[in-house]
Amino acid sequence: MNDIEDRLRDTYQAVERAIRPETIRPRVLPAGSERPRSTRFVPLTAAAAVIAVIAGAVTLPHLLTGSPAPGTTATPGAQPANAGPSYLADLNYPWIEVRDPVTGKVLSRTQPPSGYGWQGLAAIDGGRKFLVETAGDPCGGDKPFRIYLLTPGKPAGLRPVITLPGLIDEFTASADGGTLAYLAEQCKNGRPANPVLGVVRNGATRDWTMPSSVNPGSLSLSADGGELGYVNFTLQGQRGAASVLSTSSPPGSLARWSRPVFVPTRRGPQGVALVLNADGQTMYLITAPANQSVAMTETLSAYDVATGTRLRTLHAWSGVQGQPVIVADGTHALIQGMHLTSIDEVNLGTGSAATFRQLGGVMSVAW
Amino acid sequence: MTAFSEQAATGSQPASGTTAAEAIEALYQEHGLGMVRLAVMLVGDQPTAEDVVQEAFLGLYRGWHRVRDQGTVVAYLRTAVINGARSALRSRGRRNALLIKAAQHDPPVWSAEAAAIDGEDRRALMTAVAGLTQRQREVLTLKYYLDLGENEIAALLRISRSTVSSTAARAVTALTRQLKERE
Repeated sequence: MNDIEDRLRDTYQAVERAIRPETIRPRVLPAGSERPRSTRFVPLTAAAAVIAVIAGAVTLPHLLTGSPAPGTTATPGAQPANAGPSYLADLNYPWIEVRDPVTGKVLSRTQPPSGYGWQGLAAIDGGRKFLVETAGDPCGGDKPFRIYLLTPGKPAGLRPVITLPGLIDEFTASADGGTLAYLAEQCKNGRPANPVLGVVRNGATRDWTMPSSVNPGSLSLSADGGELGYVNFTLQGQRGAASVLSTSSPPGSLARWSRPVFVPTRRGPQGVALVLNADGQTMYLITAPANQSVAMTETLSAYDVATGTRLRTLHAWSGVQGQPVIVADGTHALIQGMHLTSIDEVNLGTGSAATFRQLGGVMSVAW
Repeated sequence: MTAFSEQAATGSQPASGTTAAEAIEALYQEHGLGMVRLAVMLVGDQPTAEDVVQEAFLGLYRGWHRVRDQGTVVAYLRTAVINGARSALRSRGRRNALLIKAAQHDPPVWSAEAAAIDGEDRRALMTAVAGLTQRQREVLTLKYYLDLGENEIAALLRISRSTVSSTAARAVTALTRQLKERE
């Protein structure tokens, strides 16, 4: 128990007392026949923003080896040729489900190691493999946060890759498997504190401190792990801004080394989720109105990372459900969150959209 | 006769022998206020919270024939309230939905404008909570308002117990930082 926890309990009780029974309007059932309908009470989980970009030619994960992935290249323009991803994976608690990306059929379900729960996932190696994260004890326990490599179709398809320090909130991986980026809170006096953005690249770890003006989310790496994009969800800085950090930047303040790509105007749309193209030169950004009185329309646009210029508006939609999740293969993006029970596909060339798969209730997807 | 029982004759017939409307009425008498308070914690204002709870009870009423274990009804209602609160906030905006006052919504109960709770510190804390992610807000509310255990929270939100733990820890850290800077 600490001071904040005591204050939370006290404040919640104060809010509770403010809601007095006599102020509540009477409830009314609808008039007329009330034949029971087929109402589902299954909660549809709000999605966490997990984004992965898949390059055309990729190799094995080399997070542990310390050596670059041989033959790894960031394909300019990221136009993978023919083959789409081999698998689609989603986090459908308590399992990681691996699906056929064409039919949507569940091919396998993987439970976390005993005592753990899955928290996030990212696709690598052209969607042939996935990095999956278990949430553990933030500080000093015997259950650290850990990343596993999940290889569908292999009998022993799950093996630990790396253990991360502190409390890991979100992670993403480069398509070549050589770079991992994560948000962490390092332990101090037995409690999570000191938030950092960490990058493990070819075996070496580097992190950047996060001042209160920066609260990153929606992490996305270029295919070779050289560029990291993120949306700033801070309350005290440039909320809804989208920025890029070179992962070879010196350690220090994240704010100092980041380059803004999209900066919202005072009342204009804010960035809510992004994905970097494989080459790191184009950012696909979803924006939403900051002002709630405006009709709720979200827009997917392409931005030039170097100049911040909006290259084109790809697609706009309304009726959003939850924090959007995008995964892309360079030619198409799958967006979870346009509609309640489906994943929708946007052609990054034409901007046309269609329902990709009816798939509700999952937390996040990787492709 | 209350609003719910007025419609009892049209309700479906659950296994217990009471009508659906009677059962829902009894549930509302017992849990309605608590559900409204839970919804207020999540959406900020009482009118929206009441709408959310109304929809939750209506949903339960319509699906009453499918309820096999009445011991799970409160969990159903809490889940419906949480989902309804999410939908209400989505219709206003995203993470900042609780922070921006719009003409069509009452100010949050904890705002100075509403003048419903005492103490600038409390108002500051709830404003900071409103700035957290949706999942963080939900976990904090279930943990520190309803005093639910991590297993119960995990089941309600359909996340793992360890994710509940890490989400709560990160939320508390974020609140600590924000309040320290304010002070």
